[in-house]
Amino acid sequence: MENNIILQAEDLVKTYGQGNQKIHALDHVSLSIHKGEFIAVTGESGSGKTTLLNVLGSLDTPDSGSIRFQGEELVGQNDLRLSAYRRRSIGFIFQYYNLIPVLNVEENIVLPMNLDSTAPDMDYLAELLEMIGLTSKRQSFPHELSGGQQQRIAFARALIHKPPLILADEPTGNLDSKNSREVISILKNSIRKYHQTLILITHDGSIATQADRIFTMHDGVLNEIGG
Amino acid sequence: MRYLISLALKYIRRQKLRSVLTFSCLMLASFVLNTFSAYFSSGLQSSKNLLIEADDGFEWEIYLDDVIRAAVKNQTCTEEKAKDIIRNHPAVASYFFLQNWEMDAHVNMDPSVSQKDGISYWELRFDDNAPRRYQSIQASQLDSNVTFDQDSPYHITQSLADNAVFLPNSAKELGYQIGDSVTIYCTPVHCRINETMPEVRAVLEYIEKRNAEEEAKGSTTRYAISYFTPENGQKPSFSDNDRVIRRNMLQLLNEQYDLNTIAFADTEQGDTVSVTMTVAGFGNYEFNSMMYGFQTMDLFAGSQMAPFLEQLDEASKVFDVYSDSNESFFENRTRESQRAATVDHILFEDSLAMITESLGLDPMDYPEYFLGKNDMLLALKLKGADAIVTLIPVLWLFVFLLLIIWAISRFVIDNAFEISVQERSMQFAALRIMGASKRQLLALVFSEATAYSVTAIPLGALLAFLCCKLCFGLLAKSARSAFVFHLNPYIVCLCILLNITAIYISAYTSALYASRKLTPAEALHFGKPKKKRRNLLRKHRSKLTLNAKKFIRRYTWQNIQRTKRRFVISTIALSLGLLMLTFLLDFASIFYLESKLQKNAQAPGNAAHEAINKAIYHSDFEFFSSENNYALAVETFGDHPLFRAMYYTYTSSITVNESSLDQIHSLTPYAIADSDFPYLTVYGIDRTRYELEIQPYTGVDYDTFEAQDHGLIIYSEYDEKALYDASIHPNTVPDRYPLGYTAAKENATIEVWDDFAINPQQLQLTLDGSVCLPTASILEDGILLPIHMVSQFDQQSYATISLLASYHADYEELSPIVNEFASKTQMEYLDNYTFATGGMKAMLALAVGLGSFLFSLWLVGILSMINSIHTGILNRRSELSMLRAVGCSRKQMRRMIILEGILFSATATVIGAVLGAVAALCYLPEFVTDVKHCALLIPVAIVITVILLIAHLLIAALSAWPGIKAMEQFQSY
Repeated sequence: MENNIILQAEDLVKTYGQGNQKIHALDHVSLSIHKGEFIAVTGESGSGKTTLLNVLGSLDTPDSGSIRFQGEELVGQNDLRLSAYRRRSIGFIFQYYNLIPVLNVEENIVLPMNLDSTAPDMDYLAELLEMIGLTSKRQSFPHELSGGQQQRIAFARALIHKPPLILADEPTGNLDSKNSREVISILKNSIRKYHQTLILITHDGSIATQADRIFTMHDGVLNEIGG
Repeated sequence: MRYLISLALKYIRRQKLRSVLTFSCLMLASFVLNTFSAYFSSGLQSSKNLLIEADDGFEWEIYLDDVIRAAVKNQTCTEEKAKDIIRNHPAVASYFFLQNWEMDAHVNMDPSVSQKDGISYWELRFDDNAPRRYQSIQASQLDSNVTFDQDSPYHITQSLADNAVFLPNSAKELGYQIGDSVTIYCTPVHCRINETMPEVRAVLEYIEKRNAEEEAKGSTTRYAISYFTPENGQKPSFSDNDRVIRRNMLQLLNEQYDLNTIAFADTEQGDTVSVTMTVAGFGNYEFNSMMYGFQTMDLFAGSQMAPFLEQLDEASKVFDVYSDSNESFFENRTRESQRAATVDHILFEDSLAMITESLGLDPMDYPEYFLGKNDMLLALKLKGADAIVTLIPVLWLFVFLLLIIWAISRFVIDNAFEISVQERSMQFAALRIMGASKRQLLALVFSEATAYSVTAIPLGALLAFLCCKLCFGLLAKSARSAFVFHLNPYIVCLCILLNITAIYISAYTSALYASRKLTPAEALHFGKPKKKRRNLLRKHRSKLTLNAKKFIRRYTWQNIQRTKRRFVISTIALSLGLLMLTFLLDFASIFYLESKLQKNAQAPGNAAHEAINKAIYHSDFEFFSSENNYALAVETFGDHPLFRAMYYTYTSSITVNESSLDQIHSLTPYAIADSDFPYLTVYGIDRTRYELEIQPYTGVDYDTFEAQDHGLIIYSEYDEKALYDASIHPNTVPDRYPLGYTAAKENATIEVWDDFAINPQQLQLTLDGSVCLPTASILEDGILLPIHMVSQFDQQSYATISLLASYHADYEELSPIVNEFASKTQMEYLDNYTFATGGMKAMLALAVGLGSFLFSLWLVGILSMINSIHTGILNRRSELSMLRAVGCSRKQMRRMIILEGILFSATATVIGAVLGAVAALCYLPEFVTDVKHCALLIPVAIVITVILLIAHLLIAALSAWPGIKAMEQFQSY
């Protein structure tokens, strides 16, 4: 089972501010995630969920602690290594889709491949477009699409390079329940099909219950509450 | 409202970087506009001062001579009455009635034209002192309500009482003091110069002797004496020699004798006229007459001088019997100049009409054009429609320049505001949602604009005024005191008004965008491409197989297209600055290259002689004298710490006989003197010049050269005649002789006579050899001697002393030393030092002025570019965060931003450089000496464009830095 661990975080600490203003965003957080797991993290606003995701995705650095991805230490690595890690191993999904307005649907999706100077798998692109139901709108620009469609593009962008780890920060926060169900379904299909690991931050209890394990955060402290 | 103002101020206070950028852009816009206002108003004032200076300090607008004459003619008033009316006229600000008399005596020495071979002069005596003879007497008198400064010659004339007179310094030596009474007696005299005068006979004897010598050696050259023996009935031959001798007869006499005491022949005197005046002062008012030998005297006198001079004119008329045709032996020239300036508070045209009417004339009969006007001054003072019309072409140019500057400022301000407001679209939308009215949003943006206006405009203006003050201060110090820093309140107000207008227009349009054109819903989705752009984007086909580099390039380009308006504005702002810079650089480079080409064309093989050229032709002070003042020059300047070098050259003229000439020509490859005209220049040079110019060729040091008492023949590497032929026949290549020394096979002894001496002496000179010198040398063909040997030649000679000041020397220190030497030796001198250092200072001042202006324009463009890039980054904050999240490295992000800056600056540089070159091409043909030289513009423009491009690419990379720093702050989304 140990060998099956994809991401291991130990004793992560991250604080903001000083003195009385000091906030413990991560308070000695430890976490082990296995390949193919679907982890849900819930908690109140400001409890440190996004900070945890940023730190695990190497967008932010912890004050102390260690993060090992597939056995390799991430803390202390240089920007090039971390950027490559994000490009190849991580798929990010945000609450605000953050699509690039000047790129069309398929260009937005292949963006991580372009950045990695890697030719995209066109069959897989077609499959993803099919999966998100936007094959007919592959040449459209983000502003021509609805919020749900835009979020599905963001999903496809996170999946195009088949990353072993997907980090999703409240991906359904801006969507109605129908769209939410659809995108979660896409995500679950993808991780099942490609043995991907998903860490998902959500306030939606119905989504959280679909996870293998559920964690909750409170004042920077992470507790597993079930699965 | 108060809340909105405080909100605006909070934004300024808290968004420090944005506020600093906006403030900088607004301040620079103010700097540029006020630089124009300061330079334009200072330029106008300085031009006005220069015009006034050219008129010796009088600011006149109209001539009144014609209108007064017309009034006198029409008997509407007398001249005195007319002047009195003008003196007290309400439309006249200042008046200026100047009367100038010039009493000339003429000399005619050309008997071939007429028998008027007499000469005339004024014999002038102060009380019982010995008479002095003058060729011309001048006097002036002024009536004006203007106070002239000390430098103006009118100052002396104006300050005189009716019976006061300024006398020449020579009168001071007679014992006169200020306040003494002096009676001036003056008599017109006519006389002849002929053989009855022993002095003339001495000159003739010399000429006869020279002719006998010429005859003895078989030469056909004769010196004219027939002029002085007209009884032989023959006209003299008019060879060059004859003219020289005839024209110089009075001067030859002047050199040998005192013209004030010499007894001329056939002397006739007119009536003596006298006047008693009070001595008001003394001055250097006696001048040598260039042609005749007699002097000219200026008398600055009060009104009592007028009747005296009129009597003198009458007394001289008795000699008009000698004249034929229209010429007189004596001539009285009276000049009057009646001028005035009008008051500013009455319209110029009305002032003229009022003056004409007051003189009893109908203004309809004597319209504006009847009067002479100082149109340029009137135009500069913006007075008089006709005068202003003459300035319209120039004014248009300035209006055009002002419009360009305003456009740049407007672009920059607009860009700064648009960025500042658009950045907060979502905030504005939120305010709208919360119930803020459109008017309230406008008020908010206007509050910000006001806050910026009251801080940035004064600061920018202050900086501009300081730069301009510095520039004009330097110009005044180095060039002319007429250059003054001046702020015309109207021009300054206009520029500040334009500045405020630009700010409020930009604030208004940006606020409109934020409050009206963009609905809250649109604003909340800021960045949403408009419909037009959507169509444009559709044309692109998907490019999915890009590598990282290509992706970054494409993404950057698409981002620029997304903010096209901002890109265009920033590019225009930078391009306009670069256009002016390129225009100037192109012009300066072409002029430099042209001067190089001309220099090379003038002196073949010039490169080798550059050093000599520089060493010899550059002198800080250059003295000229007919006296040999070598000993005193060495004593004064020889070891003086403030002078680093002194070159002394004594030049005289000698004649050689034929056998000597043959010996000389055996040492030179071409004839340096004509056998029919065997004159040669003899140079005596000092150690410094010898060591610089001669020793490198002979290898003999000055001590040896001096001890031998021998001479050297010097000649040029190009025969002057051959060079002249080559200039006429372009296919002819002149022979070039090798530089260097050729020793004589045996010392050649030649016989020489010092030329033009009344008692010529025959001398013998031994020549060691000959030296071929570069064409650039100041020494031309002739004989070179050590300085001590030239004292034997004292006729038709002159000395030149060139002084080089020490590098640390200051003009204030040098001036008294040089002046003292000049007054001791009575030498005239050229002050190249003040001119050169002044020229340098003037150039520096101009460079500072022009440079600060161009720099500010350029800086405006660069700041606008930084602002645009930075804003682009802030606006794409979430987008860039996402790129980081999907694995874009910092290096890639930096590359993206730098690429954006490079695209900005490269586009601006190419546009600016090309337009600058085109503008230069339009004006160049007017200024180059040869139109063909315009072709040089192509390589010059290419080189300048490439240099500017490289420089701007580097600057673009540095300009992107604030954006990169800002981007790195939002690592996480």
